[in-house]
Amino acid sequence: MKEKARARFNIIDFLIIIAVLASLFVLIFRSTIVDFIGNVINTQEAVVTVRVQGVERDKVDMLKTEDVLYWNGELFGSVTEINILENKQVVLNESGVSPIFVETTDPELCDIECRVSVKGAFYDDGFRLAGSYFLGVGKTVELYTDGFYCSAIITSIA
Amino acid sequence: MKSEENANVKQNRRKLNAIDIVIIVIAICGILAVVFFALMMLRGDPEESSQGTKKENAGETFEYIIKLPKLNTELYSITKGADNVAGCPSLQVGDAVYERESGKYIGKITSILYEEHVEPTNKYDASGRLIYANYVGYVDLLITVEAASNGKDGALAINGYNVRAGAELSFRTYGFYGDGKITYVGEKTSNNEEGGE
Repeated sequence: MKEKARARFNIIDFLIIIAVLASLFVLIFRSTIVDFIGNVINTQEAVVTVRVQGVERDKVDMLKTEDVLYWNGELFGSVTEINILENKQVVLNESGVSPIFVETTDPELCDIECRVSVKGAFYDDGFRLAGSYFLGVGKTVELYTDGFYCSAIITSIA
Repeated sequence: MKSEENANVKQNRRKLNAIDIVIIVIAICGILAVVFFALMMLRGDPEESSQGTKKENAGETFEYIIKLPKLNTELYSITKGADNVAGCPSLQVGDAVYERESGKYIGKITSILYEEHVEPTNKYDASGRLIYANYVGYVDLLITVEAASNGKDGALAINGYNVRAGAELSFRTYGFYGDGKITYVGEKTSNNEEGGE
């Protein structure tokens, strides 16, 4: 009678042990798995062009090619090209009969146009940085390096 | 005899042990996972779910206009075409439009027009009216979006987003982020498929 009552090790028990071991494995190696999945997803490379407007000319050298940019604590990408552009501003000209807005440039300031190589994935509805964050023209991103911080607007993604 | 049988029954009756608890927890997790994935599947791709609703509800097709104010033509590479048709590489006719916060599909672009952006000056004309002037290098974009309404009680809505004139709208398309205001909502009046690029 006693031997009959003893539970036998069956396939269900085996599956439970496998599930528990798998859960433990996932818990222990969570970060490695996340990195692995991230690497699988972020296989596509895109060139994002951003424009930083109104930078003081003496601070232009603080951003260089090959600098690594971060955004919200995440890797954004590395700078591949930098162009220094005139900082255009619109001012009111009241010298004529009726006032008009005219475009002018500020000699003290400049715009920095950066091409940044980023990793992510192109989906049906757009490009996601690191597989998670949608990027699009017109989006403002707060980018920083070790010694430089700026607010930049995305002007193209290719 | 009877008491011996009862004792055997009691002995055979299983007690709830740790393994049973693990099984119950796994079963509950499994059920929750199935429910979660079922809900995700039902939600599905926003565009597909919209088309699905179209078949069931055969909702009224309507259009609305989003006005994007004060866009720098150089930054956005906007070109000005004939009949106020605007060209913008990152914004195309036919692009799907998604409400930015929810990510829900809220229609398809049928035309992109531009208006010169004007700003008030600090001068007044002879009749005392404030003079407005063109703000050089900037335009307002007027994006017409077509959608099939699946709202209830006569409301024009798509995928839970109520489209109302005057409302602010943050949206995105395949490659564009925009913040604008809905300036018109109404029945689809014209075929604008060949609008600007």
